[in-house]
Amino acid sequence: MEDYAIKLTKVGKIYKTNRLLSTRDKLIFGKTKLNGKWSLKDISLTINKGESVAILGDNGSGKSTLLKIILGVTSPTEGEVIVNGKIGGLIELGAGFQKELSGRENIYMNGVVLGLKEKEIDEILDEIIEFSELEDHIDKPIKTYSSGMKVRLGFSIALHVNSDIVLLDEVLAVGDKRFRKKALRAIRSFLKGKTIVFVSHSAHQVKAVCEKAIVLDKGEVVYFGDVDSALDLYENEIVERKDKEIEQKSEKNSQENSITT
Amino acid sequence: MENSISKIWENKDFIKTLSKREIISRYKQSLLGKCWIMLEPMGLMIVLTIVFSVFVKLPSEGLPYAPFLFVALLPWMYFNKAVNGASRIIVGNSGLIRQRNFYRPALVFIKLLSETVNFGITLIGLMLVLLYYNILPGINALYTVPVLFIQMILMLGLMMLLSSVNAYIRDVGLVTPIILRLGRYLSPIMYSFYAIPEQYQPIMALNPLTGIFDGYRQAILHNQPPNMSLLLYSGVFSIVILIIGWITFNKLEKDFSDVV
Repeated sequence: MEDYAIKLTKVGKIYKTNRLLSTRDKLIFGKTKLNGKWSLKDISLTINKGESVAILGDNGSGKSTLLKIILGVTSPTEGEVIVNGKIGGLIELGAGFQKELSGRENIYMNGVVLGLKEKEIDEILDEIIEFSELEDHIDKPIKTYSSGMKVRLGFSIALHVNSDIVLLDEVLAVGDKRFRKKALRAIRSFLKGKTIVFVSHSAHQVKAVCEKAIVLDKGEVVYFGDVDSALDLYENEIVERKDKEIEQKSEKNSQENSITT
Repeated sequence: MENSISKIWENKDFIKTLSKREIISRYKQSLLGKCWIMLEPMGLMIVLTIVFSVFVKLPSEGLPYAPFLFVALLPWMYFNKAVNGASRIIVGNSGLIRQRNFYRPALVFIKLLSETVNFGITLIGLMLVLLYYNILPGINALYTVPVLFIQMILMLGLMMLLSSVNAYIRDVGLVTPIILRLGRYLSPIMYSFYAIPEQYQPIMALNPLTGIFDGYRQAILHNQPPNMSLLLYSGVFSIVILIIGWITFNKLEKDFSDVV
């Protein structure tokens, strides 16, 4: 038995443009679209069993693509992904719900999709509802839920369905402060000993949950290691560099403006 | 192939649970609920019977028009609903597809299964009509089982093909209803295969649904075995479609989440 939970070897992902549609655009409208750019490039990393790893990076740095590749919902353009164990979790908030169905029906749907049998869901149903604090709304259709309610339900399902690897993508960005605290506590107690991959913009949450962190920049891993130095690197170097780039741009603009005036 | 069957077996609980929920939820917000399953074909039968047996008289193989029509109309509506809905199978479940990695063909089976249950319910209507006209199916009615099996293979193949291709090119979902509407007139549903001029019969026979619908009529209404050469053609056609659909689906499924 291998001791790693997730292993990526030279993984790259390019979102291809639809060839038929772009040919049509070229023929009829004379537009040529640029080929997609690499969302992820040459990623090699190993996450061991029981480790909790955060993924840090700006919007568009490839965090969500990386999670999706680990989850297996999208295939890498190149490279190899090996996952040992059952994956659960919550990515893309509220996306896994069928909005015409009630909260209760959606728990069943999500449960079976995650590989549970109906009887097994019956057993954890009450706990899921109780933790999500949605007792009064559980039989109403999901379309009437607020985004906070959807997160609570989705998070609660992710927490109670037994899986070896848990992926959490910005799950604590919505919802009120009290629930966030409760969720953070729950992650630490419920998911103890499990492999966790956690995406968050909050340094506080990352520190509370993870020991290690990956820093992604423009689709590449620039750092993988201890969480404190990763946060340091991310906040001091990448964020500052971005700020500088924006400053330079606006300076350039104002210079151009002054020349023309 | 063996691999595919064991995969389906592994996911049988998943398919069963979701089919059940699909059936329950469909008519939830409608006043008459499940009655619609029966009301729709009954209404259509009454209208078509009035039009084609009173206004314009169509030959119906020496039988009253209503049972003659219903024996083919119900399987057609079953076919039409499932194939027409196929283009929504992947696109309509985008949430689940983007968030969870599960056995994708299950979604097609779920649709087929829930439509099959609805079809089963409409058969009560057929029984009532046969009873009313005092038509008692004989032993040859058992031939409906292989005929239905062929129809389901054809449906599954088309559903696999349409659902997966539509994820990439949405024109499929727009064209399918048009082609199906044509198919309704180009298949022997409202008229008999033997009522069309003989020189056109071979052309008509190219439609795989011809052998299927005629098969139901022969077996249930005439207590005769189906026209085997027609049915054999339908069977081969269906299997080819299933193979094409299955391969296409498997080729396209790995990047569904990028395109829906």
